[in-house]
Amino acid sequence: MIRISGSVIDPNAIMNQIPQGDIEKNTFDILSSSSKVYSFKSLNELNFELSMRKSIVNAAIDLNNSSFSFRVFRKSRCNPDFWDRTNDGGFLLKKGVNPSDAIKDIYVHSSKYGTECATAMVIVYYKAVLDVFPEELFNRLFPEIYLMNWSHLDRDLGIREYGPGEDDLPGDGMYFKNPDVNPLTPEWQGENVIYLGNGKYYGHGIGISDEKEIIRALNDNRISGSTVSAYRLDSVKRLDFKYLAQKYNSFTPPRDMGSYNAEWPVVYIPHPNN
Amino acid sequence: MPLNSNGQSSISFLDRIRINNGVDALKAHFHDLLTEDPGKAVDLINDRNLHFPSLFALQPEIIKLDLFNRLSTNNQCALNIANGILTKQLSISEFLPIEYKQTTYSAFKWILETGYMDDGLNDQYDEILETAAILLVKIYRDVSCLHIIAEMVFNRHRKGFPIYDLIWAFFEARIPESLTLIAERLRSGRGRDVELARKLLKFIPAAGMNADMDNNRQYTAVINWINENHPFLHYKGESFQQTGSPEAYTLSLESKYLCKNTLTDSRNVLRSLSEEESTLLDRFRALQEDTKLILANYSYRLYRRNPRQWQLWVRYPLGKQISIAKAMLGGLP
Repeated sequence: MIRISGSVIDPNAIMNQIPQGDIEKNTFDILSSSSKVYSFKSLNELNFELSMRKSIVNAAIDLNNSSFSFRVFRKSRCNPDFWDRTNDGGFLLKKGVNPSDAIKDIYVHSSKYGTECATAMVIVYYKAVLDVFPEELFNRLFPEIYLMNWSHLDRDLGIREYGPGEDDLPGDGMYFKNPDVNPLTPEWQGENVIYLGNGKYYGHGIGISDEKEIIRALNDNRISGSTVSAYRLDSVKRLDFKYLAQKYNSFTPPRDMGSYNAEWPVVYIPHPNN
Repeated sequence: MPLNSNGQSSISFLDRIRINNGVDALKAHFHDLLTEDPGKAVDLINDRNLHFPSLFALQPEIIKLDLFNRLSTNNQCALNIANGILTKQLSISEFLPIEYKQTTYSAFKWILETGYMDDGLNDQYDEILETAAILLVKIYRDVSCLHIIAEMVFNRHRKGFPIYDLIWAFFEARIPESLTLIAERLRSGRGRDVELARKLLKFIPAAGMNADMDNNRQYTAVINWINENHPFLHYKGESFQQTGSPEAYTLSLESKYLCKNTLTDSRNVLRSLSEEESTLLDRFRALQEDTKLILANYSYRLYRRNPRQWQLWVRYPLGKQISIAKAMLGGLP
């Protein structure tokens, strides 16, 4: 159920006040029909989370549709105009480059990039925030970006793990574990995914698939003779939507940012895949 | 410098040239030797004390001069492994058959043991060493190499080189006692070593929550914790691929309370318990976490000190167990 400003709300009463895309409506239905209580300070805060989740899903779909390749860290690659490739295979934002430009470049010149699945998830999260935030705010919040699995996450993304027993919400990060992976290919020890809703997931290297297909792909990379199947962990990764909403709403744009409006949604642009 | 049983240097002639004068000098010398005395050149490369980095460095010359068939079995096997890794042609089914197992195992072990000091030589070399380490742990269940893997992890971390697959292999050995190899680095004079050790041992209260503690005191507290709790640590299997702060193990207070390893794997499947043990556990599970901790700690300490007294204590009603534990805990070492 959804609670706004301390009161449980009737979903039908606010249905026409939430963003009307499929992903937002799907997320709203899960939140409102859940036995768990989802609390928001305001309708604005709820709508921010719905829109941010949609943005995560879109950023995942876009990355899947790009030429961004799967490469193990040892062989990872990035566009040196925007990123310095570190010795461990991570991508460190180049000095003097706008963080927003560098994140966008991963999608624009995607064929110049390749890395493992965990880093791909982090890229999706940054892109999702960038698509929602004004660039000025994004660049102010994330002046230093280091893309290297989950190890150097910016505190302002607020990515945390929840569960077990959480609802599966579009935009959640999840993990499929492959306990009997072929040790010659440790990159198949698991698959990080973004849940897209309706039983579909995006995993970098596997693509957009359902749970069965992801497990099959992982099982195909087990040590021969193994009878231990891969499985999905019962926990989810989520951005700190409330913190990001607060940052978004308290942002004072520079004078020359004429069209910025602190009331959510700022500008609603339908995604071509929805 | 390694010494043989007679106290003489066990460094081979070719290794000495490589160490003192570099890889190019080694290649040049080997090439000259082949022209002057091919038999001697082959003998030198088949020296039992040869280290893998020299064989690896001379591989192009060996292939160019068609010497492969004159190499020792170990050298042939090591080069096949190295090529298999780099060309992605290595298949586990190739070296599992029993007729090859001992040869390949020995070659993997030789690659790692004689090669790890030169980790960082180049990307290809590092990949071969990393794969050898992973396979020794995962296929051959050789945990004697864990100290080498730990050494490689911390050396690489200092240089900013890839560590995640090596860390994964280290923990996949599923030997809780091996945590002491990481704990050792809490006393390191290098800040990066201490930082990584704390990160890897985060699930140990003394390592995770006392980052400002004196290094030696923290080391002692962590070692004491490992010594006391390793029988009850259960492998969680978390890795850096999965999360930014993986916890390799979790302490089962239930196991510690029963003084018995009750879980069988990372998915926490319960071993069969007696009816009496099941009843005890049901009551234990209903307790608050801090009470569980007191009871589990007291139970195991009493068990180690006086198993007969423990048998009596564990049969008391839970309330009485708790009051005894709370009263006595300070009195136990």
